[in-house]
Amino acid sequence: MSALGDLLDAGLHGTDEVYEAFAGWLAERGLEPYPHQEESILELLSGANVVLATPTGSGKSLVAMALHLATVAAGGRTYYTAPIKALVSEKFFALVDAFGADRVGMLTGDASVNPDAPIICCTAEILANLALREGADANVASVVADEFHYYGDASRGWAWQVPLLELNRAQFLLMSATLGDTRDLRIDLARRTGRPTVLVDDAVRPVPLSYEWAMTPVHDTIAEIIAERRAPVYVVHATQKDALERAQSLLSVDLGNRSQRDEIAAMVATFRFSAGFGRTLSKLVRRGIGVHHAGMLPRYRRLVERLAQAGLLSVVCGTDTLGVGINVPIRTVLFTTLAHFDGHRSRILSARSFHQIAGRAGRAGFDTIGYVVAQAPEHVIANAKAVAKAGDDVKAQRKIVRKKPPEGVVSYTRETFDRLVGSPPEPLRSRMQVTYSMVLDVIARPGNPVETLRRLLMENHEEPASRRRLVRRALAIGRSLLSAGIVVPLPEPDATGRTHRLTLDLQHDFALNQPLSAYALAVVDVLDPDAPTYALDLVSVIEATLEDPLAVLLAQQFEARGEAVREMKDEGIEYDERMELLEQVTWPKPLAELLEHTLRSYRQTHPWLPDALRPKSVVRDLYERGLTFTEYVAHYRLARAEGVLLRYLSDAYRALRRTIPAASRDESFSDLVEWLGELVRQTDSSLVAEWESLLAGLEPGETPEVSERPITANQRAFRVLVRNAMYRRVELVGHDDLAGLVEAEELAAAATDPPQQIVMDRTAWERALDAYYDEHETVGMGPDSRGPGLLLVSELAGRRWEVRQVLDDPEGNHDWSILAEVDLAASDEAGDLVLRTCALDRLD
Amino acid sequence: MTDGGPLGMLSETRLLASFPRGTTARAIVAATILVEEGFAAMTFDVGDLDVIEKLATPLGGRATFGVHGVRTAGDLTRAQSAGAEYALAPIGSKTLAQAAARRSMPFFAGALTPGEIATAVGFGATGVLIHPADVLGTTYAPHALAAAGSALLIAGGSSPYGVTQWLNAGAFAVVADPSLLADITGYGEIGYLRDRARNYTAEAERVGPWRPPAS
Repeated sequence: MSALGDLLDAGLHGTDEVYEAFAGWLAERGLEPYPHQEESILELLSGANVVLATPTGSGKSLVAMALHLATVAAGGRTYYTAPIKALVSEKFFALVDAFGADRVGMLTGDASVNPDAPIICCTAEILANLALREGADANVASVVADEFHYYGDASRGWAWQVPLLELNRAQFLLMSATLGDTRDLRIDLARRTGRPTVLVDDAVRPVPLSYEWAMTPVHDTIAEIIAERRAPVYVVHATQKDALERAQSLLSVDLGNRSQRDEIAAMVATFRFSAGFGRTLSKLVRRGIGVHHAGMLPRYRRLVERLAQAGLLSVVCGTDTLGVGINVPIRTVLFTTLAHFDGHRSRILSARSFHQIAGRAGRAGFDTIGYVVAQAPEHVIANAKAVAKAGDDVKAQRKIVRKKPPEGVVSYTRETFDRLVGSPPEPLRSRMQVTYSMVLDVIARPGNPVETLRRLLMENHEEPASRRRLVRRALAIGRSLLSAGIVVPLPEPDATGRTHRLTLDLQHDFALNQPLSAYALAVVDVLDPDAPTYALDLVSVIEATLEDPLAVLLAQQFEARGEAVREMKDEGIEYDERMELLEQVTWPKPLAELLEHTLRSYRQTHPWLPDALRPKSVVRDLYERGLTFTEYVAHYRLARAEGVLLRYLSDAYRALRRTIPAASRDESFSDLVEWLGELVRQTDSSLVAEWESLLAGLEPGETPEVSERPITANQRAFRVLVRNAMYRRVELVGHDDLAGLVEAEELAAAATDPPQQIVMDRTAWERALDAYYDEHETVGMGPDSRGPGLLLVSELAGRRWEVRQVLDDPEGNHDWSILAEVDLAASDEAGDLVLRTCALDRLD
Repeated sequence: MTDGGPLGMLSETRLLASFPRGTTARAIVAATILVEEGFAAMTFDVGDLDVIEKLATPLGGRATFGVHGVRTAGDLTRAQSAGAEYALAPIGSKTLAQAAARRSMPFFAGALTPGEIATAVGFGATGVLIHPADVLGTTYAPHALAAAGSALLIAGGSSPYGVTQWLNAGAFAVVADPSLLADITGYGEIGYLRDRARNYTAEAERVGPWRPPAS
């Protein structure tokens, strides 16, 4: 069978040939386009823009494929955009399959693959920035904007709007299942591009939906759905916590048959479940119950998706953020609530969110009908029961005390549900913004920047009042750029009409994704490379430029406040004063003062930088505490936010590798970066592997390597892991923290399944600590104590290391040490360091 | 002989940990755990003498090291130069006893029956190693002691229960049964080593240090 690439190789001339070839290609695969697909393709081939608003599973990708083919056949360049990187790379590989590797490229914030290819997959922001920099002259013949409803996203919506405003010569295919009324948008797009803009939204859902209102308690509802063979069911919850709790409570319900469980067991047999949430998930999936939400590690999410795709999960408990790029085929969607918490307050789901989630019910090609069930609120069910019990007895009816909804939670009724079912998604709201990056991009391009900005800001999709607000903001930005000397007026306009020019090299000084990285580079110069904490200070500089992983920081703050309360109680500080002082206790912010100070002076010449940094210590904290990922999660009780932590660590790893120049790195910094990379890779290989394979540049046809490599393969990183674990124990010994030591051993033992036997138990540590402190007053914990000379590693037979960490005693005798054994084979199996302390002992 | 010297510590702790042949790789970890749990004497197979050299630095001040399985005078020489301070032989050999005496190395000659024990005492050995003691059981202890007279007796291969029986009967020391250390060779679960060691030392501590029999 020929791929689309072969058709292009053979040469296609004119739209008729393209249509014939595409139809032939479909026929070869036994596919017959739905009417709405055919209509869209014909419109696109005739040069129109198409707004494709058809349901999930109706085959929008096929239409996009036809536009890519037609554009490339005509010698043009075509862009596919999506909101998230995972979706971009998924589409990249699909298009490589269809068109061949040499015709497809990918651009994300992190890296580029084959950037000159005629078909480019990228995030929406990449295309928006290109549109700003080059305007209508940009080499973009057509744009496929997937998940176009992001146009209405408060913070990112501008990136979906800008290409529509700027790329007036391009042809657009805007796709989403939940668009709402797009009339104004279509009129505007037709006006700008001079192309007719057609709405195709008359697709019948391939699997029709049936809607139900459930008045039974949620467990009964689920049991009923399963009994009636309407599983797999996706149970939607308002929070991640609710989703996990529900999943755990379903363990007692009989969900599946024996053979299904055996199949699951076989599928997860070689899968690595780490301690903590991993073990819980292992228990759940083995019973046919999945959990799926954004706080989970990607590899756990993918496992659940894989099991769901194999039809092995009866129930998947998740949240209402079931958004784009999630592939969980289900038959029934059960809303446990129609209210959700938007970060500020509880409110009813928007029609868009409701349809986005409900639309997932019914598996194309498998189910004949999909079910959407909404659970009545608990108090409504209880009241209905009471009324039923009272029957016709008027007296009893009068006596009924009606229950009210819990405070702070918005209530809803059957009518709310019916209204949601019947409402089309709300019209998309324009979310135009103006930023420093936008203004700089426009100034850098040929032509009169003032005129360009005026057009961009006055002739967009916003209301007049907010247009004026945007112009005022742009003026303020322009003035600060002028006064900083970054933009200077030209004595007279140049040939293109340009009136101003930039005085700095944007490429060098201005990283679009990480505007603070240039600043970070400047701060690195003021750090003392001879300071013992130099490597960690570099980390703190970079950490201050990253987004806050709030769940982690709040956990740190919680711990810090707990400690502060204890200290203040010891000092006898009164309650009121204590509470006041407590407000000032926050998560650790290393170098905060230095960073704020340098940023203030740096901003005078770089006014586009945000005026605040976010100093924090997550990578540094993890390193200094010498914990593994699993231990860190257990320490701060972050089981539900593992995914958030991992995403942050992987961002930090990229930023550290990308930002710190070779000249500023020292040995221990390089060790630390290796360690961090390995930690992220071992916890979830996909994130780093994806990035590194992109960075390395993929060979045509090659897919990124996502196989799990043994943790010990990177010896350098593994040694850092060992060193950290040993040093962690030094610190605990130094604080005479018996409970901490016992906990550390318990956590370390839990790295394997079943947990390994503990060698240093409470009694052993207690005795050892007493013996040490009989001889020495303290344990040195300065930089010297961490020196490589005090850690001795000898390799034993049987893939084991014997590790001895010598304590830095005040007399400098160096006669006490912590002895431990590292099991390399077990570490590989667990994907985590398997280290056991064997003794704290005097050397003599 | 038991005042200070290599056997001084043994007279206090009265337990010998005997490392099976081939335990070299993990010896430091295991030995350290044993020392922490109150063992102060351990012996290594004559084929594993390099371990003694390795252990001397970290544990030299708190434990003494001996050798077991010696069969020739050459074995004794090599053991001594590796740092072994006493030797246990599986057999009763006059030549060996004399060779050890020349090197001022405490030597325990192997014997089992009362006759063998009496013969070994006659060689001039420091003491007798009842080996393998568990063949005849703990009820044999008083009989063996009677045959040894005032010579130091070490019972080889005993369980924690046997420790009490032998020591109460008057044995100088007891060799902990292979069950203490056997699984260390194959990288077994060392997590249990500390517990097992405690079982032995608890028994020995209950009995207390060695007292020479009243003559």
